[in-house]
Amino acid sequence: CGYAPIYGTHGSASDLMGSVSFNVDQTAEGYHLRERLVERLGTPEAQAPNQLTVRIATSEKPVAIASNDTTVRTTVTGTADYSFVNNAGETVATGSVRSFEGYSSLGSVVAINAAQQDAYERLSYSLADLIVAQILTRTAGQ
Amino acid sequence: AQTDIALGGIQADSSAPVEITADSLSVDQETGIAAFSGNVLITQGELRLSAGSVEVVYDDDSGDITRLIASGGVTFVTATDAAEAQTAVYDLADNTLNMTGDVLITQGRSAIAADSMRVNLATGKAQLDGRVRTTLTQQDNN
Amino acid sequence: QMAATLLADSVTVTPDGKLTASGNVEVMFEGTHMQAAAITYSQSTDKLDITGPILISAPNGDVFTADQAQLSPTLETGLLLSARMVLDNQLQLTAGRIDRTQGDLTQFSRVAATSCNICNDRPPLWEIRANRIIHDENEQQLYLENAVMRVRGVPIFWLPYMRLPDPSLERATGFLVPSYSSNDLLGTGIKMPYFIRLGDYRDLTLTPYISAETKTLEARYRQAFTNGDITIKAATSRDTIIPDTQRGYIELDGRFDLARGYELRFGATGVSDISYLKQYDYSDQDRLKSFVTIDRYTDAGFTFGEIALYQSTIAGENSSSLPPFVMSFATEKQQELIGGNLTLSADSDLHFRFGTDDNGNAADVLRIGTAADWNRNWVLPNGLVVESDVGLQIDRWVIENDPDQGGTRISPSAAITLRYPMMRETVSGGQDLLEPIIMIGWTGDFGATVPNEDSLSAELTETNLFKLSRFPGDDRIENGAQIAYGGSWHRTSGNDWTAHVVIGQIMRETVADYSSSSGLTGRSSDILAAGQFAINDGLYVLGRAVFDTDLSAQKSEILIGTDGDYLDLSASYVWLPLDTDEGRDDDFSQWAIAADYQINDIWSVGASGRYDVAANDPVKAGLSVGWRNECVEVELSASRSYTSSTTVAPTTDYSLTIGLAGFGTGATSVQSRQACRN
Repeated sequence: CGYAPIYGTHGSASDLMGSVSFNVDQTAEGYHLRERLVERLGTPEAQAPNQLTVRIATSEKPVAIASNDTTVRTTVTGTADYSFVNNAGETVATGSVRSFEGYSSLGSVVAINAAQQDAYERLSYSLADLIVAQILTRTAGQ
Repeated sequence: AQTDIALGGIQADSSAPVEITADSLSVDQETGIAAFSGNVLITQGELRLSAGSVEVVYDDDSGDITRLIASGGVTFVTATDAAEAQTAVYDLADNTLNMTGDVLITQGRSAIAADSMRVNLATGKAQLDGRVRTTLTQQDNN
Repeated sequence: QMAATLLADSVTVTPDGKLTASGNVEVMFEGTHMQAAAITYSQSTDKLDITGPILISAPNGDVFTADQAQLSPTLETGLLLSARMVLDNQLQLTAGRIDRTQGDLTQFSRVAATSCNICNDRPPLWEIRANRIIHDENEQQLYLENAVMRVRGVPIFWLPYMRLPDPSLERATGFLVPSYSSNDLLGTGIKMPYFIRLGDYRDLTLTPYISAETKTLEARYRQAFTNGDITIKAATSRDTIIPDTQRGYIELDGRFDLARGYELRFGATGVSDISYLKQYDYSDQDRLKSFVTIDRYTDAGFTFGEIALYQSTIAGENSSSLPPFVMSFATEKQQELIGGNLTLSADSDLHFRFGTDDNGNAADVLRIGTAADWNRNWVLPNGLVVESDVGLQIDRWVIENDPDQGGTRISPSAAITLRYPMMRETVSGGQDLLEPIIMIGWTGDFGATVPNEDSLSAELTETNLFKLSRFPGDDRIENGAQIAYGGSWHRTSGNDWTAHVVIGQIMRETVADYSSSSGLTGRSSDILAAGQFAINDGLYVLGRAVFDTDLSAQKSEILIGTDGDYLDLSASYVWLPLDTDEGRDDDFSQWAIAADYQINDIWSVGASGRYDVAANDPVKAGLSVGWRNECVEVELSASRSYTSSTTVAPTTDYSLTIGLAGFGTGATSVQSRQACRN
């Protein structure tokens, strides 16, 4: 059905693993995004030829409000603008990805804090996965 | 601050004797016109007119010079002003100077440029036409 | 030695020092450009007598027109008769006479000021007429004397003296745009904000809010420092809701960059009574958090520390059991180890309850934890990506005021994740990426089992599908062996749209302590399906749902939105089944929509709504209409909140704001100039 592995000897992304250095925000979201990018694209070598720059913006909104006006569930929406530059300085892929994660806002403060923190961490992972997928599909041609 | 402008208007005494030098001279008997050509220089009192070529028209009876028709790049210099143009007609009878073609009058630091100019050398009144351009230079009062 | 250049079709010069220029006369002087029909200049008066129509455009964009004028050769000083000046191509001042003086002062006599189009068929929408207006270019202020405000020629109000900022001024002390609002609780009232500029780095805005039911003074103080800023908001009220008591709140927020990349954030909120903030719509937080946070994030690790105090604004909720006092600290370091990445981390959480909460819990809990995790990837020649993970986590709990005393839990873990990403080119020149994924893992759980406080509401999503634990906190881990399988599909087509889908399921050896609606109960989890479809800079649809074995959706959520030039839409729908662990006593399904549509340069409409499908009644609704042209911006909005409790009652809220363009850069200077209708 036409699919060919992208890694491996003659894969289109065979030299990608470890060849990308990351420039992310110095925030919790930036940290977890980088953690996931390293998991997917490998730890960058010393002189990694490609550079991926990502900037994240998040916003929270109650998505379910009970009849007594307390917020039942909150959705965190995140957008990440990325640009992937190769060693020749050309911008090979650029764009923005969007994702969302929800967390329950009822119960004790300890439970809500943990759920909120986990939601932001999952959001960073989700944005990282989307960026990796975009890079793999957009740099396939080059 | 006093504004200086080419205002004095050009004045000359058309009754003063006229002296003409040139490289060559040819005279046309029937019309009575003498055509000087080559570095023509005409002096009259403080006034000096130089041109590529000048035709001098004499009065039939008195034999006085009534008109000087200069062309081929004319400069017209008095004690206070200088004027240049492509062609000029100096009419000693009605004491007027008519210059056409890239006319430029300079007096001290200010200048007026125009396509054509008519000056009444007796009253000093000048009329310039075509895209007239001048500067109103303001002397510093300190 | 400044030279003004004069251009004309014809010029006559007379010996008495008079120059007369006529025919398309232009004078240029250091950026100021004037056009006129004729000019006479006399050396004796050193003045230009100009006959119109005269058009002068100054370098800063101001434009003068006049019928007649007498100006200095440098065009800087002098007077213009029956003239009009346009400030910052917005505000037009039409005057019988304009006097320009050396010190950047321009005086307008018998003047009318407006930023609306002046068409000779009818008076402008609004204009201010005054005997005298003085425009001070340095101070960027307009001083009006004996000013009358007219709408379509009808005088509305008169002020002996008025000062307004000119259009180019950004920050100046003065009244901001007033707003009028009315709602059932606080009656009809008006807010008159007054902005006080305290130098370049500080400002204070005082807003009296007077209505039939309340006399309130709101205040906001802001100060910027080289390495941070603080904001203080406060309000104090005497109202009929709680008569004869001084109600109010104060809120402080600050953020500072410290040395070596650390950042300090702090915030504190104090309120006189719990319903005040929601009744006055100053905040809709259910819990007020006062905190101090210091953190630093770098590529090689992070450090985070926070102390927080919580206060509930929910009726009947006892703040002392929230728990109100929570302290947490965490630090993590990453380094390379035999071709892989070793992460060492240590963290601790502490929370105190000063009372017992609704279900009799009064526990004070201290947890200290440390963990090490090593992971490494291999790419095999056939394209298979093997990711190995080995970890050890040790946590120690100390619990008081609770039968459970805590203890120590040791949790080793190991996992292998296999990915086989494949790609093909699609007919439309896009790319199709298909990636089957399988994770096989095991987690040990030896030692204490503590009460579950921080892992009550877990979420199964495409990002933790292939992780070893989906619990948000530390009190719970998934014990035993498990396998998670599924895959992701991603398509980009050229440059205009992308699609992304992830599907998967988890099978595990032992049941984990998950809440019923999380989709993670039992030995085989619900099937997770998550996806999105996005058109470049246009519509996007994001969705996620978990389906149980008979494929009926359990917890599911959909988000739809666009941020186009004219339409701004965001809609969401969520379906949450009953789940007491997550605090829901019955099913919950709700959709919410908010849309703003800019119909044309003039009209814009907005609508928002929130509807509880399960309870079958509306929660919130709102409408707004905006009308603006080149000189006025009007915004009328109405909103209705149906929620009710002992502290919050259903209220309807109307508000109207009118902003005049042309004064200060506040109101919009819409460039949609309307043509005259003749």
